[in-house]
Amino acid sequence: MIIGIDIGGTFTDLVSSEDGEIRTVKVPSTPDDFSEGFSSALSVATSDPGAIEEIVHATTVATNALIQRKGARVGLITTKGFRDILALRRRDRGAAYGIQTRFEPLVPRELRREVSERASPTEVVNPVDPDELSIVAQSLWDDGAEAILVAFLHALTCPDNERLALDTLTGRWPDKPIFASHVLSDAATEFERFSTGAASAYVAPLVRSYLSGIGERLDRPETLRVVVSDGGLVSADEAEANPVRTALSGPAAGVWGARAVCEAIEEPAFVACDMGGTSFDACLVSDGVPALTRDRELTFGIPLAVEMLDIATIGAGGGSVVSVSSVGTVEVGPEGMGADPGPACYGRQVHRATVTDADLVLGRISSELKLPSGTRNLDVDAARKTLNERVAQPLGVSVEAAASLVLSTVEEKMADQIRQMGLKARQDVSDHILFAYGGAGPLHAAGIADPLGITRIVIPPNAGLFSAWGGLLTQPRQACSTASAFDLVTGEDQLKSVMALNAKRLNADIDTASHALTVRSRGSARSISLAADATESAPRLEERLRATPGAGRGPWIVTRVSTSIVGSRACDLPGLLPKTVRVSDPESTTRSVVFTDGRSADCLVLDRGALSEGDAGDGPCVIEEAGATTVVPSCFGWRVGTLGLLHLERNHA
Amino acid sequence: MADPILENRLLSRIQAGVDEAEVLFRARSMSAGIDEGETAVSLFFPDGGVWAEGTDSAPLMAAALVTWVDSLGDRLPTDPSVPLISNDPYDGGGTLCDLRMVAAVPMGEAVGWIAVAGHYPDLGGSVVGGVAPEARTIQEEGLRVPLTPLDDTVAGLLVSNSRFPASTGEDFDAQVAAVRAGQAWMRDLGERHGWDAILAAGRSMRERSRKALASARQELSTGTFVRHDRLDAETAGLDPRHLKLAVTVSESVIEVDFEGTDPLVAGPTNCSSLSTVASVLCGFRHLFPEIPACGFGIDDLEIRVPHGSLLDAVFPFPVGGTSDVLSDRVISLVIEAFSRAVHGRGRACDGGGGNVIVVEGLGEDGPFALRLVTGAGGGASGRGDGLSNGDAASRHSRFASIEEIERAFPVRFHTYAERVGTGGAGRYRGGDGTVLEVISLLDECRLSVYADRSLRGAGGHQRGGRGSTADVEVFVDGRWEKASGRLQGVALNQGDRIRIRTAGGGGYGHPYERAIRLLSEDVRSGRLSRKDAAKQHGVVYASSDARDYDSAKTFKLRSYRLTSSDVDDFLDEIEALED
Repeated sequence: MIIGIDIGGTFTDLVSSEDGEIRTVKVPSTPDDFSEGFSSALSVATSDPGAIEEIVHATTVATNALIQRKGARVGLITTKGFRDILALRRRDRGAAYGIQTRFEPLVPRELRREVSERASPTEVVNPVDPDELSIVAQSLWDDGAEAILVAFLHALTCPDNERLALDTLTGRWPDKPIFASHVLSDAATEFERFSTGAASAYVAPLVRSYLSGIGERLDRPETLRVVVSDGGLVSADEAEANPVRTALSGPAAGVWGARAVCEAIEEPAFVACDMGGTSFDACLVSDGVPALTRDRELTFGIPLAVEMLDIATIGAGGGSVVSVSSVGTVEVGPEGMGADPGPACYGRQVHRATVTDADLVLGRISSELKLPSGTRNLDVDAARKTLNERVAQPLGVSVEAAASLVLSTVEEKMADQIRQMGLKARQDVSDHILFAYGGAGPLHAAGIADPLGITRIVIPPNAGLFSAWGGLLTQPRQACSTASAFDLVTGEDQLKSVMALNAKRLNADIDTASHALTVRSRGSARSISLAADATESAPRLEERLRATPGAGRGPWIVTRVSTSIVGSRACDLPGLLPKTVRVSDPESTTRSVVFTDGRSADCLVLDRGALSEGDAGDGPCVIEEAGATTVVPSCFGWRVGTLGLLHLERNHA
Repeated sequence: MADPILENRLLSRIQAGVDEAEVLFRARSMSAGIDEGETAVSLFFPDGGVWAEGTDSAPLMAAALVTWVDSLGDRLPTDPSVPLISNDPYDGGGTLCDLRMVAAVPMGEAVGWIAVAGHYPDLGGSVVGGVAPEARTIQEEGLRVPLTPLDDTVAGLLVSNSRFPASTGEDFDAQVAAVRAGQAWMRDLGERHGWDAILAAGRSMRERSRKALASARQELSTGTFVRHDRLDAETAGLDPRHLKLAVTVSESVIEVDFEGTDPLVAGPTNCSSLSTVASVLCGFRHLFPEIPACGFGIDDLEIRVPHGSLLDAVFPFPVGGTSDVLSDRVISLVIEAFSRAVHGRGRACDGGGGNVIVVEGLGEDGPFALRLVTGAGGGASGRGDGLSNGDAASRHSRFASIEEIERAFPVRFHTYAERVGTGGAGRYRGGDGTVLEVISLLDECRLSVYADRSLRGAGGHQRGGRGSTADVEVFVDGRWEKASGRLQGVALNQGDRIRIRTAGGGGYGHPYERAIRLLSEDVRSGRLSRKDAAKQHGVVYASSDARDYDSAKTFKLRSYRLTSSDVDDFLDEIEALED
C-alpha cells in the first residue's frame, strides 16, 4: 500500500493506493500537534499498518513558520566584519514607490556574532580558532539560541574553515541543531547562502520535532518519505538535515504529479496551474523537465537558494478578498479569508467579497457545492449583497458586471504571470498545454488560457484533490552540484571529470544523468544556466551559448556543474488516477451562467462521474465533480480522453 | 457607457505589453546593473502624456522618460521603423550613462510612443561609470549622443567608447529588442481590438487616476513649506552648496520653487532642469504610491528652476552626479517639504543618494574597473522605523555580492556592516547607514570616490532627530586619513584601503514617544547605548540587561517632572553609564 498525505491548515488529506484500489480520507487537521491528525487519517485508511510500503508526505510546516515568523531563536557565527549580511540584504527596497519600513532578519542582531577567520575565493587567509568558536557558541546557547548557523565568507568555494567550525561545534554539542551554510546551499553569493542557512536553522527545531512526532506514530518510520521543493523525495533524516528544502513541498508534489500524467499522454510541454483557496501556483514544463530555480525570495529580504521548482505564486485564490482601489480598478488578494470564516457565501462574514463569491453570483459554481466531504450550501444572496457593496457600488455597475470584472482581473493577472515565465525561459507558451487542478483551477482554466493563446487544456480527474495525488506520482529526484571556476574551452577535461564525480556521488551513470552548467561570460557578473550532455564537446557548448540571448560573447567561465537523476518509482498510473465519483442525478440539468466576457447562456450542467472515455461535446457547459467545477465557454469543446482526463480544446472559429 | 470588462481587459493587456518589454530588456542584457533593475519602460498617449510604465521600472528613470518625451514635442518620431536614441543630459536629463530610446506606436489615426531607458555601466569618460569627481566639463564624463535616428552606426559608436564593449553591445541589442517587442505588442493589440476602444480605455483610466490624485491632493494643507539642504563642496576649501526649496500649496495650484539654490559648480554635482523636474515628479509620486503613473502630469506642479543654478545645468557643465547624488537630494527635499503639508503620508528624509566607489587598475586579465554604489538609511515614517541600507528613492536595484566581487576583482572587503545607531532618534528611528571597507590587493590601482551628505544629516519629521552624516577615509602610506567625498585617481597600492560610512535616515516623532519595547530591543541589539537611551529617549535602564528599566525614573524623565536636584543627580548618573 502506498499512501500520500497532505497536511493543510484546515484539513489533512490522505490518498491511498493498494492493488489498483484508491481511497481518499479527509480529517480535520490538528494544529497543536499535526502528527495527531496524521495518525488519525492513517488509522481510518488502514487497519493494518504493516501493509504500508511507503508514505509520501508533502508538508507546509517550514513555509508557515517562515511566513508567520514562528521559528526558533537562531544564533549566527560569521566572519569578522560581516555580522550584518542578513540585515543588509542586497541594498534593495521592497517596492518602487512609497514608504519602506524596517526589515527584520530571521536572526536578531544580538544573536549574530563574529569570529576571526577569513578565506579568499580559493584559499584560507586566516584559519578559524576552535577555542574562540566554542566560546562564542557557548555564549549563544547561554543567550537562548535554539539552533546555530555557521556562515563564513567564500565557504562555498573554500569550505575549510566552515567545515572545521562545523566539526568542532557538532563534536562538542552532538545533539544540538548546528548547521553550516555551504552544506545547506550551493549559492556562490554570501547573502543568498546565509539567508538559506538562516531559514533552515530557523525552522529546524520545528521540523525536527514534527517529523519525529510522526515517526513515533509509525510502525516503520523508515517508510516515511518527504517531498522537497525540487520535487524529489527524501527520508525524514535528510529532510531534517536541510529543512528549508521542504519549503515548496506541496506545490512541488502537484507539479510532479502533473508531469507524470502528461508524460503518459505524451505531452512534454505544459503549464501546471494550481489554483486553490489562497493562492495560484504556476510552473512551466518544457521537454518534460520542470523549470528549476535557485533564486527565489520567500518574502522581502529572505531569498532561498536551494534548487526548487520555478513556481510563480500570486496570492489570488478562491478565498482571496476583492476590493476596489482609489482609481477604480479591481484589486484581488493577497489577503484571503481562508476556509474560516471563508467567502461571504459561507454565511460567516458579510464584510469581504471573494473570488468564490463572484463565481457563485455568475452561476459558475452551484449553490449546492459538492465537496469530497459532502454538499455545502452556499448563500447566493449573501454573496450578491457583499459583492454589491464592495465592488459593484463603488464602480457603479451591476453585480454581474462586477463579478465578471473580478474574474477577468484574476485571470488576466495569472496569464501575465505565465507569460512572463515563458519570456524568461525563452519559451513560447502558446503551444503548451494548460494542466489545471486545485479547487478553482478548472473553473478559470479557459479564462487563463485564452489571453495566452493556449488552445488545449487538460484537467485530471478529482482535480480538487490532485495535489494530494501528486505525491503518489512523484518520482524520486536526486541532485548534487559542484562549484568551480574554469574556462569552458580550456577546462573541457575538468568539466567531464566534475560531471563524472557528480554522477558518482549520485551512484549514477554519467551519460544517463542530466547535467546543467552555470556559466558567465568573462567580465560579466551575470550567470546563466545551460543544460548539457556529458558527451557534448566544449566547442559545441560554446556554439549554443553564442546563440543564447543574454549569455554574452564569451569566453565563458563555468562556475557550477549540477547533476541530477530522476529515479523511477514503480507507479501504475491508471491505477493511481482516481475514478471520478458521481455527484448528481443522472438527468442533466441546466443553469444560467455568465461568462467573463459578460455574455450569459443557459448551460448544460454535466456530471463528470457520469461521463466516460470518448464522450465529447461543445461549450458552453459546466462539468461538475466533487471538489471542482470545470467551466467550458462557447469557444471551447470538451472530450473525455484516456485515464479519465478531461480535454478542453478551442474551436478554430 | 463603455464596457467595464473590456476596458479592464484592454488596460491589463497594455500593462502586460509594457512589462513584457522591460522583462525582455533585463533578461537579454548582460550588465548586472540592467539585469538587476536600472531600466524603465513607458508608453505614451498621442498627446504625449504617460499611459503606463513598467511595474519594476526604476522610479527616477521612469520620471525622466516622462519629462524627456514631453520636451521632445515636434521632434518625436512618427515613422515606427525609425526609433530615436539619445543620452544628452541637457536635452533630456539624467547622465551620459542613461541611454534612452523612443519609438512611434501607431494608434489608429494617431501616433503614440513607447520609450525605453537603461543605465549603462560605462560609455566612456575619464572614470568608469560616467561620474568623474574632478570633471569640469561634460567631455570628461563620456560620449554625448544627441537625438539621433537609431542605426548600427550609433551602436558601433557607443560600443567602441565603452570600457565594456562586449556587454554594451549586448545591452544595446537588448534595449532595441525591448522597443521592438513593445511596438509589436501594441500593433497586435490594435489589430485585435481597434485603437478606438483601447484609447478610450486608457483615457478613462487616466481620468479616474487624475481624479483620485485630485482628491488625495485635498489632504495637503495650504501654505508655504520651505526646506533647504547642503551639498558637499566640489573641491576642498570651497564653500558647500545650498539647495533651497519652497513648496506653496494653494487651493488651485502647487508651486515648487528652487529659488535661492546656489549657482552651477565646476564639478559633477549639477543637473539639467529636465532632471530637476523629473526628480520633483518622482518625489511627488513617492507620496502617492497608490496612484498609477498616468494620474500624474507635469503640469500638476508649477516647477520653477532658477536659471544658472546647479539645478539648471547647461553645456558644458558636467552632470555626472545627477543620478547618484543630486536627484536623490532633490527627491528627499520634495518629500520633506510635502511631508509638512500632508498628514499621514509624511516621512523623514532618507540618508541616500548613493555613494560611488570606483577602483580601476591593470589586472592579470587586462584592465578592470570595479564600481560600487552603497545604500544608506531610509527615513522613518508613522508606520515604523526606516529601512537600513536601503536603495535610494530614485532607484529600485540591487548591490552586487561580495563573494562575486572578490572572485572577479583584486580587492578584499574588510567590513560590510550596518552602521548602527546612525538613524535619527524618534518614536520611530531612521534606518541605519552602512560601513564598507575595501582593501586593494594590487599595486598601482586608481581610486575614485563620489560621496555626499558629510555636512548635513537627513532631516527628521514630526520632531524626530536628524540622521548621522556620512564620511570617507582612506588608508594610504600606512595611515588613515579623512578624505573628502570627491576623490579622483588616488593611487592605491597593495594593502591600501578605502572606508566609507554612509548616512542614517531621519527619525519620526519625538524620541520620548518611542515604545519601551522597541528601545529595549535597540539596547539589546547594540544599536543604542544606555546613556543615549536615557539622554535621547528618557528611558533609564537599571542594569545592562535591557529588560531591566527603571520605571520610576523613566516616568519622571519622560513626563519632565524633575526638580533641579533630580536633574543634577540624573546627569551624573547618566554620564556614569558606559557608552
